[in-house]
Amino acid sequence: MEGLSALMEGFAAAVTPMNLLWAFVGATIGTAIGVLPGIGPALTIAMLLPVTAKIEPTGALIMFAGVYYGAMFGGSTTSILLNTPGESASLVTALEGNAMAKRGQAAAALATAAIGSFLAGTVATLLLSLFAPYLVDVALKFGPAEYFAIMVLAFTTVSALMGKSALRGMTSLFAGLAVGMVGIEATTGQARFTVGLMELTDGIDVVLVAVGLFAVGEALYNVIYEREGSAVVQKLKGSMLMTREQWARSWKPWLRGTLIGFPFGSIPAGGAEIPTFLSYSLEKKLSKHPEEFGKGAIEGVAGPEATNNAAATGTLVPLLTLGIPTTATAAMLLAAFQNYNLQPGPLLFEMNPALVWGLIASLYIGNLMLLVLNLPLAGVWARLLAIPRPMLYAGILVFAALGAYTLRQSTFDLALLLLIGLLGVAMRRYDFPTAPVIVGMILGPLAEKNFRNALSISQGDFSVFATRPIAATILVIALAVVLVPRLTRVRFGHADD
Amino acid sequence: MDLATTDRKVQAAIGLGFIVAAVAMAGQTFLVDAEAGYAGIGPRFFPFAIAAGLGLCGLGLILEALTGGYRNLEGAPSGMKLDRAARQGLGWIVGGLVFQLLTIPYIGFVPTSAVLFTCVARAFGARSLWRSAAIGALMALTIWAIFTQLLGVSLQGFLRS
Repeated sequence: MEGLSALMEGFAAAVTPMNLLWAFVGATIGTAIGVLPGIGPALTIAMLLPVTAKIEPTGALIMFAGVYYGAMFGGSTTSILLNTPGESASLVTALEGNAMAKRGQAAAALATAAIGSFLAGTVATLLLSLFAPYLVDVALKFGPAEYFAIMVLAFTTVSALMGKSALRGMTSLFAGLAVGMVGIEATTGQARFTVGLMELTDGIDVVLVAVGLFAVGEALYNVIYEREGSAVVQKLKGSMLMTREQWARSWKPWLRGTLIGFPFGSIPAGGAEIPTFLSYSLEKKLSKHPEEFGKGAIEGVAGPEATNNAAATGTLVPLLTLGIPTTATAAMLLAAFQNYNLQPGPLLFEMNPALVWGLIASLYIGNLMLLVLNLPLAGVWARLLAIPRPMLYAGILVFAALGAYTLRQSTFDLALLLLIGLLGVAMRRYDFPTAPVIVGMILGPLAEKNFRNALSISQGDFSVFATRPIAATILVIALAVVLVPRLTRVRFGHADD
Repeated sequence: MDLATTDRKVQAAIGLGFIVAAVAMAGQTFLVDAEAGYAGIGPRFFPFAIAAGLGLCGLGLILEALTGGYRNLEGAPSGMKLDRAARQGLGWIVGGLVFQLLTIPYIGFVPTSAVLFTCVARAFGARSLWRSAAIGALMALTIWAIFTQLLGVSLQGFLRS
């Protein structure tokens, strides 16, 4: 077991006092921002990116992973007590968990969410540790043509599969790709699309776009369209110790949720929304109490919460083994790697196993920390919901400006931040998804590099993408993702949809 | 003219905006030196393809806007006109950000952040300006201390000396 010994080395790297501290800091920040509405893991990692200048890579990445996981745990608290999903993957929990809270079972709902998240996170990390070495072996055989094909697949799934409109998803994607083209181009070293502005020579930083869309855009949208904020915070009632019956009704949904979530996160199908809905409807079908669904069925919390954690871990599979992010948060993690001039992928497993496996090992530790942080301290986190909205958004914007300004102490970046924020309002108002923008701008330059390398090897022969079987297959799948839903719709006469 | 029609005009305008952006981008690609090398394609090809894709998307958006509006546009707030409170809120936040970007090189992160904090809190209906300002100043000071002292990020906190 080559993987096992590598994992043990990883644990050795992760349990140093400093790295344990980073895991704890990440888990704590993650839980807090998961609880706070209006601020998610992608935004948080974006705002924390400046620290990469000072912290060594393993510690920083462990912290960022902790934020990612912690947000998943914390998000369930908000969904259950506030009926406002902290992140989109908690939509279902917001339905069912809030209904439980209204029936006076808030504590049990939080407990099943926390234990389910822990179980799912741990099992999914185990699956990640088992599969990663095999995937790395496969990925080592990939050339630029294959990488380009996988990136195209990630593009089409993140833009066409998620969200309500493939057209608006693709528009967001191309906008992101266009933004990613600004600045010095890697192969020939010349500046592109800088329109004569010195400040654009280095390109537009992904932090600016993420913080602009997620923080400034979000605050502006809320002040214009949802100023009042109508949510009622439910009291944390009941016992955190689940009854025997609640355990009996929870454990199967936890496991099923894990098994649904992990593969969905691993394939570049983007996001945890689809699998959480799948888990919810599956539990409803299998439950002995289907009539309770919608009124507070514990299975409807246990399953989807396990699913979204497993899916979050799943997204680390393509990120770590191939360097392909499939969600906005994964894209920010990739940005963190890039700040250290590290490119995740099979080579990183070979060159820097202590870092990769240290990160994976820290996920086990982080999950355990999160369980301890979330079960007994649920009441403390719930108190964060009492922060008034004016203070919350004011604080978010101060951090947003901080994240933009510390990039290079430039007021140009602050102006750009405001501009992107205003565009973000329009995007939100007309329902353009934001994740494809982030994934497009960070993956676009990599896709171009691989595309040109592939053509360099084939001496300009485009057929390389059709004759290499793996690349061709992936490209066909990518095309199918866009075309099949449309073609079937026409055939069945739902052209109006 | 009813609201839905106005909204569809804005939708078409957004599509047109993407087409304009795409054409501008395609035009800019010709400023890039095309050194094709072994690949047979140079640094122009990829951006040009992206511009084409963006333009096609813009075309698609206009088409949707003209044939009943964007598809599956649910949950979006209706009404184009922003009410007074919305305009004021927008003004406070934009004002706070503009103030910060104009003054931060001179008076530093802490005071400008306190002002930004106060403006945003005001936009969301905070009653006491002084209380917001105090909380904002305290928060900015704490962040500044953590970032500069603990994390070693360089950040000018106050008036340039």
